[in-house]
Amino acid sequence: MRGVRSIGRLVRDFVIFTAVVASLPVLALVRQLRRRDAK
Amino acid sequence: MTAAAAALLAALLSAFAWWRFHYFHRNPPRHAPPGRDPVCAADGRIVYVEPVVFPDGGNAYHQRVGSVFDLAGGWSVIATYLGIFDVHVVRAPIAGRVRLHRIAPLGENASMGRSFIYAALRRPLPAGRRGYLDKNEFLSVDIEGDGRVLVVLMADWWIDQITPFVEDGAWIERGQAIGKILMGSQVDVWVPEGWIEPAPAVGDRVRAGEMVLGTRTAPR
Repeated sequence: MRGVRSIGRLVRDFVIFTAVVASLPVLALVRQLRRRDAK
Repeated sequence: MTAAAAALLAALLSAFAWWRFHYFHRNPPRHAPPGRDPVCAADGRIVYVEPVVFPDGGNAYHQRVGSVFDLAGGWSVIATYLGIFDVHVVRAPIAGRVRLHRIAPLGENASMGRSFIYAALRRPLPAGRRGYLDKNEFLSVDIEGDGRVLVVLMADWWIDQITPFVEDGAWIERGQAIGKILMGSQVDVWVPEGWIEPAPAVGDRVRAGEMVLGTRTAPR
């Protein structure tokens, strides 16, 4: 499989992917609050 | 497990598989704008732009890169953070002959997790949050043609590999793909201080091979 060296690394990639996807709405909210505070 | 949880997990696994085996590896064609101004080397967000003066200035990272390429005088370092959804093919800012140099990690690669957060918040990455610069593995590409530019491909702690697409001593064109980072990282472009007026600011999103990195101020 493309770029896969071990199952452990694939699991690690999945954990990172999930963490990044889950954090995106939180970071977008923080950005919006900061923008609102800056006004 | 409820049906809703199973459906959510299935959707997440499908999205992961699509990203991991297809989307991440994309290499869309890029067309460099006319002119001699250098183009951006990577897709992502600018996390800092800073000057460094050799032989004494800068931090351990600057000294590591500077000693490899015998740098002297003033340089500007323009750092782009590549998120996991960015294209990871790195392109040449200018045309010229390349010299490749792999700089081995000092121990274990450190995490760039903070870079992700600062980039997402469009904030400059503070110098105290760049511990990975002192430890991680780099592939440095020195391009000498109509000017001299260094491109440093930097590995995050979970990186599998940095793969060059060009051979040492080869001639490359402006905007040509020079390598790929698997997966998520930072790319620094080093240019002689005052050689360009950098176009993107910290927090700006850039695209490799298409967006101008800066306007040339003087022939060099």
